[in-house]
Amino acid sequence: MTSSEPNTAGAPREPVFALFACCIPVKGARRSVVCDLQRQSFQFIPNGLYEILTEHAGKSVAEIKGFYDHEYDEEIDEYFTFLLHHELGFWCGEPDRFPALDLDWETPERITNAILDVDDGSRHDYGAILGQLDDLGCKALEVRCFHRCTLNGLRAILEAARHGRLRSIDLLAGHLPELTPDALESLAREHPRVSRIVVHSAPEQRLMPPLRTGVTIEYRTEVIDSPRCCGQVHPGYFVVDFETFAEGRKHNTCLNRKLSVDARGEIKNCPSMTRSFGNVREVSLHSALAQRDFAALWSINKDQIAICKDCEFRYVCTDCRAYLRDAADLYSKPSKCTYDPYTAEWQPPADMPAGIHTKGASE
Amino acid sequence: MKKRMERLDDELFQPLTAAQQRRITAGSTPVTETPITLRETFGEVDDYIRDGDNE
Repeated sequence: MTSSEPNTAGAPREPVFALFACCIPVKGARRSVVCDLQRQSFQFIPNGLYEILTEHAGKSVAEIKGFYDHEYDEEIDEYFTFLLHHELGFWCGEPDRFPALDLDWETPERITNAILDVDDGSRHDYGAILGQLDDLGCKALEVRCFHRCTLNGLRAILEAARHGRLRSIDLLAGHLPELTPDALESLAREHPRVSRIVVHSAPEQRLMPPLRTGVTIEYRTEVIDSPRCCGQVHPGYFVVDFETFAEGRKHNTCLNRKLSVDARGEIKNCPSMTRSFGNVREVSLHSALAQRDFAALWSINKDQIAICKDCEFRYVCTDCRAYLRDAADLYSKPSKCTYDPYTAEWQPPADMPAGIHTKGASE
Repeated sequence: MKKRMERLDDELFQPLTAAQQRRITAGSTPVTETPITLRETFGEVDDYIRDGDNE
């Protein structure tokens, strides 16, 4: 605890607990979390502690204990010990000197991220598509090849990005024997924008050690043959960082500033959605983006979505607006989310999601 | 309103294990339909799907 400091009246001022600016509490229906945006992690806390951190911010421990009529003195001491242990905050005399982070989210890019789906029947002009994404400022691209890809096929896609502005490319490709770890590692070295390669339909599950550049290469046995594999909501997909947290407070964390081109060339918000804004062979990405309603879903944030608005994970969850519990209600919960924020329980996976099959089960 | 103060050693407040955070590759609830159309912001029109290239 810091030493007491005199206040303006000259009397010693009791220290108060302040969360670090990057540690932000989020209340859920059954429990809360403190998101540590700097360490990219979160800690579960009781809703009682959330109340202390928000409604009683700036009060001394004595004042807080007094508010609860000293009924929970032991618990309150335990709470502050916990917060200090996890380095979520500190004692201070003048908390006003530590302002909150500005969580307004802004970006100069018209599109920040894109998905490009490819299958056996795709006739994409990669140079044209990636060039247009460059013009829109796109930073991250995920290329999902649902078919078994040759190295040359992957190389052709990556060559189109060689002189572009993309900062990262995630590749998903169907397995062929030539997609060996060495070959993929060499591909990633040739194209430093590649940040992740996942090979589906592989004979065995295998996660390679990350390359020195941070690129990960992973082999999965699942056959991922359609966009319907997408939309999973799970702690493994949570993104606990400042960018996502700030964006998620006002925007949709899946669709905001996203553009997709499906395997047939249809320009969509997400390949899993049915609505097309034109085919990329006939309509420029700029024109599609300029169409009324292309951005209609971008502003659906988790505070507006049924059930999600009561979930403590709502600002770190990636959401899904394509597969909904109620297809007629754009504000309904993602159908693939099995978390119940009212009991804080995840239901065990029931069956294989559509779009993913065990090996040999694909049609 | 005063809240009941729960103890932190409750299972509810334990960190997720590595297994719990591992990305799922299979298993989920059945997929429902996707929305057929988006809700129009300014009213219904029929010609918005393929406007063509207006540039």
